[in-house]
Amino acid sequence: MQTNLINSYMHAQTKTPQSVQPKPSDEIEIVTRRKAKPDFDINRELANRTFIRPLPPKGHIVKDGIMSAPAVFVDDLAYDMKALKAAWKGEANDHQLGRLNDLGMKLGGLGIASYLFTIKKSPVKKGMEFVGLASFFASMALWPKLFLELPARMIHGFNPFMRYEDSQGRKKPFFQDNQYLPFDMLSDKQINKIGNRNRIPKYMPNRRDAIQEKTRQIALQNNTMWMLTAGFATPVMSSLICNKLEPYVENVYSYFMNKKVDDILLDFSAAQKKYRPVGIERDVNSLLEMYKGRVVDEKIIGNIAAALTQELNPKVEAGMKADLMRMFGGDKYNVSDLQIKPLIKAMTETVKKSANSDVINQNLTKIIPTVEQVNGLFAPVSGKQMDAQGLKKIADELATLIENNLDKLRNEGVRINRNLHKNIIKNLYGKSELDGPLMSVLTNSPTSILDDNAQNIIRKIAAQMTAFCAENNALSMYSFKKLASAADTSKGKFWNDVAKPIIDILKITPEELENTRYDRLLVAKLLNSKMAAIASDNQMYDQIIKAAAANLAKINNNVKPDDLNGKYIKQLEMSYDVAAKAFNSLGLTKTVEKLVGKNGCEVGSLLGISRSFVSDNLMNVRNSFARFFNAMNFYKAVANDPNLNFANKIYDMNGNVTGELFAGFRNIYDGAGNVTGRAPGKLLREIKEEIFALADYLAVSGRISDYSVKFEFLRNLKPNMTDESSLEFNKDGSVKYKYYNKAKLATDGVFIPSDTNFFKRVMNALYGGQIQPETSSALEQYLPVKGMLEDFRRNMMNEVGNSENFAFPSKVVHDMWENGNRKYSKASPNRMSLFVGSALDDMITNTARQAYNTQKWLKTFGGFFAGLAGFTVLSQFFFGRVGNRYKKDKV
Amino acid sequence: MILPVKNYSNNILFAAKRNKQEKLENSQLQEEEGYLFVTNGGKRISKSELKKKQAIPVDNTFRNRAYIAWDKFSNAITMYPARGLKGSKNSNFYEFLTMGTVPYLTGSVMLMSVFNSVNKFFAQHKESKMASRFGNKMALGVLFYGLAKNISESFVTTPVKWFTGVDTEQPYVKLCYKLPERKDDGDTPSVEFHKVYESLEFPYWNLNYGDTSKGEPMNAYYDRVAKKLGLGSNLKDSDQDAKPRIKEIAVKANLAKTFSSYLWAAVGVGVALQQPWDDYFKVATLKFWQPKKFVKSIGVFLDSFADSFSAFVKGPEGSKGVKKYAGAILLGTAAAASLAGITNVLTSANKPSKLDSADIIEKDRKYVVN
Repeated sequence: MQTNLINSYMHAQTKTPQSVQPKPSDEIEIVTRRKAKPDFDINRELANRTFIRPLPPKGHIVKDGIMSAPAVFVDDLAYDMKALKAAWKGEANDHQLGRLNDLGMKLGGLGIASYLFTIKKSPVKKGMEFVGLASFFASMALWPKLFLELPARMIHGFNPFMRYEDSQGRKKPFFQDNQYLPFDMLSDKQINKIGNRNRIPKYMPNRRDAIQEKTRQIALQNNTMWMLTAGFATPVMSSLICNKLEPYVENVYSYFMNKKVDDILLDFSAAQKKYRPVGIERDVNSLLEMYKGRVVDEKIIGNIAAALTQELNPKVEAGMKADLMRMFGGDKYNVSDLQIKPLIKAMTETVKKSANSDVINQNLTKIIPTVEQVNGLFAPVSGKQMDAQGLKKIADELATLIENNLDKLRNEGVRINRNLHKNIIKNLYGKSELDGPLMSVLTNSPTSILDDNAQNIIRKIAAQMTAFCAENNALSMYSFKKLASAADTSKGKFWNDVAKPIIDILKITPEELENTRYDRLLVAKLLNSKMAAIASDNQMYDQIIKAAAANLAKINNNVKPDDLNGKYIKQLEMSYDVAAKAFNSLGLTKTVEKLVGKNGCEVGSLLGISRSFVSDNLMNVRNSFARFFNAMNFYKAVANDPNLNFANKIYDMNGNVTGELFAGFRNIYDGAGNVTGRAPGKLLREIKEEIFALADYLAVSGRISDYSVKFEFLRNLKPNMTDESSLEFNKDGSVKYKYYNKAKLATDGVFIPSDTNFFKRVMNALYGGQIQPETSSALEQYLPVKGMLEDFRRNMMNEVGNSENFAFPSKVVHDMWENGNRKYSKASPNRMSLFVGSALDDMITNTARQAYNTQKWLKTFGGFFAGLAGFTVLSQFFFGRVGNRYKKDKV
Repeated sequence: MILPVKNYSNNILFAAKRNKQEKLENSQLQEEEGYLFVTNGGKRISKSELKKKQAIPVDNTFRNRAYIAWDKFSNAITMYPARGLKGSKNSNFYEFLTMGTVPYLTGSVMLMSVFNSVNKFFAQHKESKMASRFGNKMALGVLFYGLAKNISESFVTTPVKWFTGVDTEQPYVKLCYKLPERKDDGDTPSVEFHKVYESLEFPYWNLNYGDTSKGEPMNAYYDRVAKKLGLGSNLKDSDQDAKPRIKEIAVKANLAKTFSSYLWAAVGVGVALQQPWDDYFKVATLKFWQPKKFVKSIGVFLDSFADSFSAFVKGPEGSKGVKKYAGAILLGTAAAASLAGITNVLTSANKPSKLDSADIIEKDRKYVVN
């Protein structure tokens, strides 16, 4: 609020004499009162400027701090709003317009972020748009604060970006205009403090001027540096911030998403209300309104069925349609005497039209059947309901009557053209059964009309369907958010959370990432060697298995398989059971079949799909990660037993040894090299190498196709028959091949499908028997993971290995017998692929590539940013030095 | 901090004696005779005239605007930062503001680079392609942001000029004398390009008066504006009548320009991120020395622009609700902002009436003398 200068001046002029002048006590004074001037002459008053002084300035340095930040924010916002109002009225000043420019920029940024929010697909990406916007503006503000202001404060003892508020309440940067610096706001003490810090001689003349000059120079240099660096720094800083924040945003989203989804099962009735579809009853009601009183046909039924099952799949829709057709869509028609006259009229018109000859027109009464004749046909059926076939018969008989009449006329000597005759009969019928002049009269009174009764039933179905869909939607939402292969689901996040650290756990270096990123086969090789190396070191093996298991145990945090298998399935069964009973009572048998299956077989029903969605997805995740442990276990087994004895055993369903595979006979030689006899042999070294090579490949890269159709592996047909030594290892733990791959497999190698025992040994090596003691002890604390691994091995042996045409027709690897009959696995190909899980090299290739990309990006721009920041901070040491040389104080 | 300032004299030495940098900067003014590139009334402004008048309005044409932009930019990346980093006392507020464009440009290049420059290291097929596709669009987004922002300003200023006769963007050239930095420094003037209404508290009103020495009527400009604003013709003091209105118009136009241009910039970004641009990036080339490819690339650019614009307005296929209409809403908001701004400029509550001197002071109001 401004003080009113003239008023106070005038006030002082009138008041002061009275108060100053002492009042004489007993003297009579003649007072000549000064009359107020009739017109106050402003020009005269203003001309006398000696009385009017400027107000003391109110400008001051703004103290920006964390504590005052919220208050400053509110203040500034109020200022901006005031500015906006003033600008709209056309009264704003320059400072206000400048502030509005910043506001406009933020508004535009918000516009961009909002638009991107709508086009981005996943919730986390949507959220990141706003994080991006905020980080950009934050970077704009933080860059000068951190890398210019902070070093300047530390080195020069003042803030080159300080702000002041002028007497009009406008906040401005103190040093924005290098040629207008309000140094009078700084006290001598403050200025001297800066001077002392900058080692300006204490006793020099005009010290304040010297300090101010130096301060000015430093601030100008900082401002310039800011302008030069901000463009480079802000985008990079912003993207670095986003990069670092994204995992946190993911975690926060995941936390709230899971909480929300878990609530569905915790309070199912609330969830039902939330996911209750409003469309079903609304659409059905409007359809019923539209079709009220109309004859029911297939189209109408179809539309109603579609509206009823809009939340479910097309199979249920088909079931619903069939049910409704059966209930309401019958083709019955009333027959009554009232139709006789219109029939005769229709016949007359048809005959007239089709003949159009004088002869016919003259004899019309003789041609058209009489009322009595038609009545005769109607008498037995009148008042009854008939279907289209019955009506067709009546129409046929009418046509026959006309034909007879025509014949009779011809017999009487009337000349009637044969074609004409044909034409008349033809025109009595239409293109389809229900068409034609006769049928259209006969079917004009159908009985299946959407009457009140039918409408009530359909409304009941709609209400029931809404209740069911409310439950089904809630359950679908639960399983989708938990397990779907989509962005930001629990499974997706879990997959990333577990797969990403595997790269660190296996200690894959950035160089290795870079070298292998283009090719899955290179990644597979890398994994083979990494795992073999780990398996050769007991301590490392233990440590890594534990780390990976701890990582995998996270599945219970978000995905919660126990809830899915327990509560969820229970609720699913209950909801479907209730719905099936309700729909059955309404007569919707086909619909119920589509919902829960027929005769206890759920396959293909909605319930079956929902159930297998959960089990399939869980199985896929579990087995994919179990493969990692199994591969590690395999390398450990080889390291423990380089003779591969464990591969040469016969195992039962539970992995217990029941015998040994036959390794063939070997010749026994005497000292002179003559064969003296034959004895059962051990595994040859070369065969062992081949077993290892195939198992090595399958452990990391095996896909379901490898196990089912292309189990091709080139081997040496004539292995070295004398070497039965065990496998040897290189220093890094990998197997040293003595024979394998040395015989030019590409040209000389052969594929030997008949050697069943070879494939049996490979499967045994990978999945046979019990897990290695080292693996077992490492997983002692992680029993669920251990169970996962054992399940995986058992399924691979008993379900995949025991399928009838494993690898080649009639080549079962894992023989099972039951009552003297071979017992084959009954798993479908789809199920088998779930057992195999996703190949490790696939899983790691994708993750590794992403990791490489992120690392590369971070390295490039992180490095750039660090360089720029360092340069900017260092430059501070050179500021304030141009032309500022002073004589030192004499001590 | 009051430094000795050599008073204005007609005998200006346009050459600085020692300072090579100053020489470079004022190459335009090296010689007494000669002309500036910019024009006033269609004729190039002579240096001697500028020397005499200190500030001369410049025609608001594309040619002049482009030159001014170039002059400011080239100084902003050479002379001004050099002076600023030295801590020169001659580095003034104009230079600081002009340097403000530098972070915009470097920032744009940097933003493009953040999304693009590392992509070539990514795996050749999938990621690299996806990343480049995204990066290209982001780069285009940066470009369109700048273009849309600058072009859209004329959506407000041009209609305002048509309807009111007030060119809120009117530039002028100003001669600015530097302080001597050393003892033997001569006069070291520099040329600055300002706008008449860049300060709305202190518009450079004088520049719009006619040159009476040349026989021009003093108030010609204000007569014209007053007539256009409906204040009447043959006014005694048309400038006094028009000035408050002009100021109001300039403030309102400034607000409308600022807000709408940022929204248009957002529209630019939205258009740049559409699917159809993929077509363009397949054939994009700037190699104008391969005319066939270059012309084809421009053709596809225009097609892609049209397709992208319609994709932006129509929303993704099969989408519903906000997702479908987001683009249209953003475009509508920007257009509405421009339109509302123009409407606001054209409607004025305070059409000034001529006041008698007796009415200047109203007794029931408080007055402040500054």
